[in-house]
Amino acid sequence: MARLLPVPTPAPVSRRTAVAGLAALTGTLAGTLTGCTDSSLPTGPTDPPPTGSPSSSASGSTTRDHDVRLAAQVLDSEQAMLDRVLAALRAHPRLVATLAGARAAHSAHVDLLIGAVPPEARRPAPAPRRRPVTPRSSAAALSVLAGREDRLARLRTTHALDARSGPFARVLASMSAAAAQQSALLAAAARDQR
Amino acid sequence: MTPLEALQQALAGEHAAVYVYGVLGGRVSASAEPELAARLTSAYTLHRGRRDHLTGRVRAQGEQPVAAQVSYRLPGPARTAAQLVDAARVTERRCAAVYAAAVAGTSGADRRWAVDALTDAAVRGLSFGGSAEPFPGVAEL
Repeated sequence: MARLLPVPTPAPVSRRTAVAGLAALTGTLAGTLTGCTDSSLPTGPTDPPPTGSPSSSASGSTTRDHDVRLAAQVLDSEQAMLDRVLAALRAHPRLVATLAGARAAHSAHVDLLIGAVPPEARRPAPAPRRRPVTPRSSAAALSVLAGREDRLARLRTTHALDARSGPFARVLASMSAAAAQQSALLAAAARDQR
Repeated sequence: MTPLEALQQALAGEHAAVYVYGVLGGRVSASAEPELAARLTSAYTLHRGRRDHLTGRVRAQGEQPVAAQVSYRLPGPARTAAQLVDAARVTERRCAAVYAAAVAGTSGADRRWAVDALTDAAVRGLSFGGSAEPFPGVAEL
């Protein structure tokens, strides 16, 4: 009898290697991020033409720079989402259990990306960052967060499509799915509060 | 992994998911558990559609789609309603891993489709008692 669901095993990405830089975040992305391109990697929509002008190493560094910039953007939006969750927690301490999952997910995303984006690639914090406003009713607060998570999931999908490296795209797609899970759970919790 | 290999791996996963949901749907009592029966039927229909889509994508590249196996081992005993829910949850978790891998191996429209499938598996898994995770489909994180 055949085994259930043959699950492919991509090269693993470990937390420990993640903190060594974006190259490590994406494991096999190392090929793209150390300057040599892997021709088997799928190419993104805006990739340079495969033949002709850019040398292999030049296109490798373009790819790396592109994905590092993308990771810096992702870090910004994950931090902003985490800030929203924490603001909702300050306004509604009783939601601590309800918001635990969202807090854990976005904290994990921020941690991974902080270790992965080199400091020189970080985007300056938008000054002054507005503190997120949380509605006074807990149901409304949850509903607003659910909507934000949904927007974040869709944004992260476009990031996954934009990533040049397949392994990095895999991580971004997973983050999109995590935000979609939170959106579903928070929307359900908002309905329960009413 | 080439894009074609990624599609073939996802197709192999969907063959298994369609088989498992077919069995689970046959074991649920529609009168005693109408809501669970509806969720299993919905999942079966969805995965069958995915299998057909992937079959078409592989054929469009002039390749022979990977065939289904005769049978697949069920995740767990899958007899009681609770066990059926467990089996469905495990199946969605494995689908999430399959589609996360497919995201890495594809680009463009196929990648978008794989991201949507990963998201659906992650959210559908919640309806079968799954917990939210920071990195659905990426077990090593």
